[in-house]
Amino acid sequence: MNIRDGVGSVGGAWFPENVRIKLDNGSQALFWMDRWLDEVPLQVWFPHLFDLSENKWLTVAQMFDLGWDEGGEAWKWRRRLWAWEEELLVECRLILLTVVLQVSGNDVWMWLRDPSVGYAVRGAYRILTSGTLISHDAPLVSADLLWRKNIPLKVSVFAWRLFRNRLPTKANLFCRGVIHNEA
Amino acid sequence: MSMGVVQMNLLIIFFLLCNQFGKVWYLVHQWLGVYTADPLTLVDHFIQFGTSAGFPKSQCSFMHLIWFATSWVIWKERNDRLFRTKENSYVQLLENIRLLSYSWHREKFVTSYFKFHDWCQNPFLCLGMR
Repeated sequence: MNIRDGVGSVGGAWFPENVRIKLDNGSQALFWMDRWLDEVPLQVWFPHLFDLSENKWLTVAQMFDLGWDEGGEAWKWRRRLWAWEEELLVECRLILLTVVLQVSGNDVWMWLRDPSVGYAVRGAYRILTSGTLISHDAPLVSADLLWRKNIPLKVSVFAWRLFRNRLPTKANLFCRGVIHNEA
Repeated sequence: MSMGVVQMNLLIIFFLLCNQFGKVWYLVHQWLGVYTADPLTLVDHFIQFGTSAGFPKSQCSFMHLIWFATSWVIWKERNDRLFRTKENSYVQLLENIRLLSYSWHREKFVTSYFKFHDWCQNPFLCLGMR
């Protein structure tokens, strides 16, 4: 049993799910593989692009320096992209528009369960043995707004899952260990 | 410690901002004639959308119904495109949103009577809100 992957423990992959990198200059986070932008690494959101990329192991800072705008050097591919792959790339670049890197300061790894103290074996042990690995919920919508007589139940359920990021999207299934990589 | 990256949930980008479905929200905004700022979370968007028409809290629920209808239609369309390689036009998607919200409203206000056509023209007027 590999505890790092959380096999056999409550809540699936408890370690990677509770670690985030807080980006400053982007020199510590791997662009494709680390969870620096979202709960899901970019390689999961854009598996095709990742597959084709020649720059799989570059950090965020390196990719940024090469240039990830349209036609930037960061995008080096094994072969020419098809039109639909170009569209994926447009979507990927749209996401990257929200990124602002700092010049000074280093990236910091964070333990989400205890951001002030950081990771400690004692704390992690307590979480694992308490048996309740509840995820940090997003601010929620009050029940009377969500559950209403005049909208179909399936729509309410859908919205409930959407707000809690519980929809069975590929990225979510990956996060929860239902599928592995490119299924 | 400064926050270097705007940690935006990718779901938001998918649902609200991407080329594919951002346009649906744009059409809905156009239909209603109200606009919202770019939200940071989906829940923010939901709440903002509710108040965006400037109505008192008691009447926000009307806007929320349209929010539900819109996201439901987007989700269904996403699944159609992904798994059935079926694609509806944006005009059709907007029509579906109008139809859904219309039928849900009719259920709520059984006494009031307005036609689907009026609903498409100006839903606020139908509810006696403007």
